[in-house]
Amino acid sequence: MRKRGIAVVLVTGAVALAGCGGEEGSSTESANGEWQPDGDVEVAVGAQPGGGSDILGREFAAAYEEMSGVTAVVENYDTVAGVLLLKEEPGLGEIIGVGNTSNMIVRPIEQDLGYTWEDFTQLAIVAEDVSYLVSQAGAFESAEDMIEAAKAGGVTVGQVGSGAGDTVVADQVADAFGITFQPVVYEGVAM
Amino acid sequence: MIAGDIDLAVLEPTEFLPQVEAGEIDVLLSTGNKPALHEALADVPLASDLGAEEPFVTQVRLFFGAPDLSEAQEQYWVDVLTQWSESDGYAAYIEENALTPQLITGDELDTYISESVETLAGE
Repeated sequence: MRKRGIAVVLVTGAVALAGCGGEEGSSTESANGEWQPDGDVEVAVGAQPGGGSDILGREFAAAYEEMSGVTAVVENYDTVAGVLLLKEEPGLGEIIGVGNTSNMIVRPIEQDLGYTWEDFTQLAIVAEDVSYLVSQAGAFESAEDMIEAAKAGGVTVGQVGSGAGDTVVADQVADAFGITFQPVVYEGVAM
Repeated sequence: MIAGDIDLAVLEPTEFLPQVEAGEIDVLLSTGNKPALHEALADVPLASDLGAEEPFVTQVRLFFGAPDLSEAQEQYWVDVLTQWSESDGYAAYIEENALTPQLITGDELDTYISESVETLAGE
C-alpha cells in the first residue's frame, strides 16, 4: 500500500506541473479533460471468492480488459478492509471497489467502521439482488397465508445476525404488514 | 428451514434456486420493486402487490472509487460501467445470477443511497 501512496503523490505532482505549464496535461489526463488509467487497474472485492461481490468483480474485470485492453487484477479482502483500502487512496483512479447495500449502506449505520458511503466517489449501481421470503415447500399456501399466520404470532425467520441484509429486509417486511417475526439466529445461510 | 426448524428465510436467488427446482421450498414474496426476469421467480408476488406502501431497501451491487476522484476519472468509470451494462456479457451475468438489471449513476445514485440511508437509519 505504501508503494501505491507514493505513486499517487507523483501523479498529483505531474498534474500540478502540467497546470502551471498550460494545457499540455499529464500522462493520465489529457488536455481535453479525458482520463485514462496509468497502468494496471485493481478491482477490490471486499469479500472472499465465490460470493456475489466476487462474481461481479470477476465478471466486470474480464469484460473491462476486453473493452479497454487494460489489465484488471481482482484482489479479495475482508469486507471492511476492502472498503477502507480505497479510503486511503484519495484521487487514485486505478482502483475500483465492488460494494453492496450491506457494506456501503447498512453496516456503517449500525456501527462505526471508519467510513460512510460519502467518503467515496460512488460510480454506479449495476444490479439489484432482490431478497425473497422463502419457506419449506407446503408450509404456507401463499404470502397472504404467511402474513395471517405471522399476525397470529409464532412465525419464525432464520437470520444470520445483525448487519446482514436479510435482517434488514425481514424488519421491513414486518413493518410493511404490521406483523412480527420470531428471529432465530443462524451461522451462515439459513437454508 | 428445509428440516422445519424455522418457518421462513430471507434469501437471494443464488442461495435458493436449486432448492426451488428440487421442489423443497416455496418462494412466497419478493421484496423487489418489479417482477424478476428469471422464470422461476417471475410470478412471485411483490410486497407492493400485497399493499406494502414504501419501496424496500434491497441488496444492490455497485462500484465505487477512491475519495476525491477528478470529474474526468469519475466520468471514465461511469462510461466504462455504462458500456458494460449494455453488453451481452452483462445480460448473461444478470441472467445466470438471477439478478435484476439496474444502472444508476451520477446525482441519481447519490439520491438513491442517501434515501436508503435515511430509510434504514429511521428504523
